[in-house]
Amino acid sequence: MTMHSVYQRVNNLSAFLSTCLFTLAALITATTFILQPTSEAVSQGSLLSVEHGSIKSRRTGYYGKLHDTVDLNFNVTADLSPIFHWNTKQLFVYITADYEHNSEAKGGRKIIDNTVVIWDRIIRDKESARLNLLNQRPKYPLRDYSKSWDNALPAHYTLHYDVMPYVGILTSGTAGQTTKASNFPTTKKAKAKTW
Amino acid sequence: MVNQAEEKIRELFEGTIDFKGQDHVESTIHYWLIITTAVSFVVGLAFQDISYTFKLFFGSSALLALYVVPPWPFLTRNPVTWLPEMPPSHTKKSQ
Repeated sequence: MTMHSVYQRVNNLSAFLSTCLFTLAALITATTFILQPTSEAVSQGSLLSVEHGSIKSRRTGYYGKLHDTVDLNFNVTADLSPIFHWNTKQLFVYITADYEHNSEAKGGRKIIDNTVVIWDRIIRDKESARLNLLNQRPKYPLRDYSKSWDNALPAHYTLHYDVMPYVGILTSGTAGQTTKASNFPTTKKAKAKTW
Repeated sequence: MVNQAEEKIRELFEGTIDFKGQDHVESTIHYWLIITTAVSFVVGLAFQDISYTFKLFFGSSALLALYVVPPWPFLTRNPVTWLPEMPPSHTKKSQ
């Protein structure tokens, strides 16, 4: 390739620079597969426990409708610091409530896999990745799509994490789960008014 | 006089260098950038800090640009030696 003029030299230099930069990014991404621990390794020694409280009727959501929300508090202990290697920019951790509906008795369909996010946090460094939270209240109200909890089977809670790298593929995993399911309290329905 | 000034400015912006200089520039760019990629990768991996990698890479590339892009005197040391002018040839073919 000719390097006759300044423009051509700048052009050639930037072209080869782009190739080298792309190769560097590919190399960094490759190291991520080796350095990043698996979900199983991260879940070792993590604890998540949840206690349900009473059900309250609250106005939540974009339209401010009345929902039956479940009060709860949770404790979480997890060490996510092994996930922080040179290519980790930040972690997004969140706790979900996973439960099933059972409306077969009333002739409805059994709906499986309800997942509601009750808490989340962005973690940017290794020190903050050692979670040790006690008696935390949920960040988002635990409400159901059907606005009531009558048909909900006992729930498990799971701690998830999404790993955001500087260069590479977005990955996710789970870092812990409650060992025993939490029952939803029964609601006492006020008698329907008839006029 | 104005023409001479124009010529000088044009030469400055074109920044032409001779062929030996061009060869030197081409191989320098290749070797320098490959070594820069390798070194910045290894340093970042060893210190587990990705900012080292990119600071080294771009800093080193800026140095390379400074060495290679402007038409330095050491790149114009071997100008092409043209042959002397030939006398004008006969246009008519002799029968």
